[in-house]
Amino acid sequence: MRGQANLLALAVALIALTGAMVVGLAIADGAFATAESDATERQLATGIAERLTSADGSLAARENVLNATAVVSFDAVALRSALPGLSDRDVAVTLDDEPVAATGDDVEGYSVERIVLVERTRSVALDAAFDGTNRSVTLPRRTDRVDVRIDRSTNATVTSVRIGDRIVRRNASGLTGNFSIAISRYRTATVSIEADGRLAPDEADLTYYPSRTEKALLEVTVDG
Amino acid sequence: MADRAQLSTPVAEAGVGVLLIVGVASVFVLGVPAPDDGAAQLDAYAEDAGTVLAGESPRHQGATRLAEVAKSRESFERERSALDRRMDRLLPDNLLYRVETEYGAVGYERPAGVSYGTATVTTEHGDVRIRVWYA
Repeated sequence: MRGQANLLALAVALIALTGAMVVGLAIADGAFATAESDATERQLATGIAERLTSADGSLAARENVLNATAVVSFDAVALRSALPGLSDRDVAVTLDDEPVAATGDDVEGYSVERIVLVERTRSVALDAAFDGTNRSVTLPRRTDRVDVRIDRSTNATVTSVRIGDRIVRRNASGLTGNFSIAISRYRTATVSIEADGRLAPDEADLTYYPSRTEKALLEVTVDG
Repeated sequence: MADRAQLSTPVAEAGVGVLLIVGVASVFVLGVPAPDDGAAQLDAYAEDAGTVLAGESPRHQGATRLAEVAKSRESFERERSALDRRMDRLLPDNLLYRVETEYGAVGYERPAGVSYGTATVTTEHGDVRIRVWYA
C-alpha cells in the first residue's frame, strides 16, 4: 500500500517537473529569440542610418550633409539597391517626418534618428565680372567650386587665374576655355585674372555655386 | 499520520523542483535587461552635432567653427553665444547640451544621474567635448 502510493506520487511529481521544464524552456527560447531579433533590428537601423549619412553614402554630399536633389530622387528601389543586406525586412526613411523612401507600408519597429544638414546648391553667374583693368572678384558667398570662362580676346592675353595668391591656371601664351576650379568652402575666395591688355567685359565671366544648408532629422525605421 | 507524511514527500520535492524551474524561467521573462537604446541614440546625436559643427566654416578665423572656439580665450568668449545659438537650433527640441573646451563651456549644467551621449571632436587647438541628454 505504502509502496504503491509512493509510486503514484513519484509519477505525478515527475510529470509536474517535466511540464514545468518544458514551459520553462519555451519561455527561455522565446526570450532569446526576441533579444536576438531586437539586436538585429537595432543593428540594421543604426547601420543604415550610418551609411546614409556617411560621406560616400547615396544621399550625402559630405559627412552628415545630404544633397537635396539626391534626397528628392531617392526611392524604394534606390533604398534596396543601396542596402543589399536587407533581405525580407522593411525599411522606412523619413526626413523631418516627411517620407523619403520606404520598402513597405506602415513600417513600425526600431528607429534611429540622426541630425543632418540638407544642402541646396544653386549657380550664380557673374557676367562681365572682370571689366577692363579691375580683374579681381571676391565671391560674396562661400562655395566649393567656381567655373571661369575665358574667351579668346582680340586685344588681351590672359596668362593666369588666381584664387587669392594661389595661381590655379597659367599659360604664358594665353588661356582660353572653361575652367572648373575647386576652392575651399571654409574661406571667401577672391578670383583674379592677369591679362596683358584690356579685356572686353564679355570676354571673361564666372559662375559660382553657393549652397544653403538647413538642419533636419533623418529617421530610419526597421520593422521587427 | 505516518502514511500521509511519507506520501507527500515526492510531491513536496516535485513542488520544490517546479518552483526552482519557474524561478529560473522567470529570470528570462523579467531579468533580461531592456537594451539601453537611449544611450546609443544620444551618442549618435552628440556625434552628429560634432560632425556638423566641425564641418562649418569659422565665423572669423581658424580652420572650422570648432577649431575657432578651441583656439584661445578671446575667440571662445567672442564665439560662445553664436555657438550656443547654433547648438540650440541644431539639436532636436527634447535635448539639452553642453559643449566643453579648454577655455570654458557653453550650454546647460548637466544634472547628475541622467544618461547622456558624448562625442569628442579633435581640432588643431585641442579637443572639444559635446554632451547631450534628454531634457
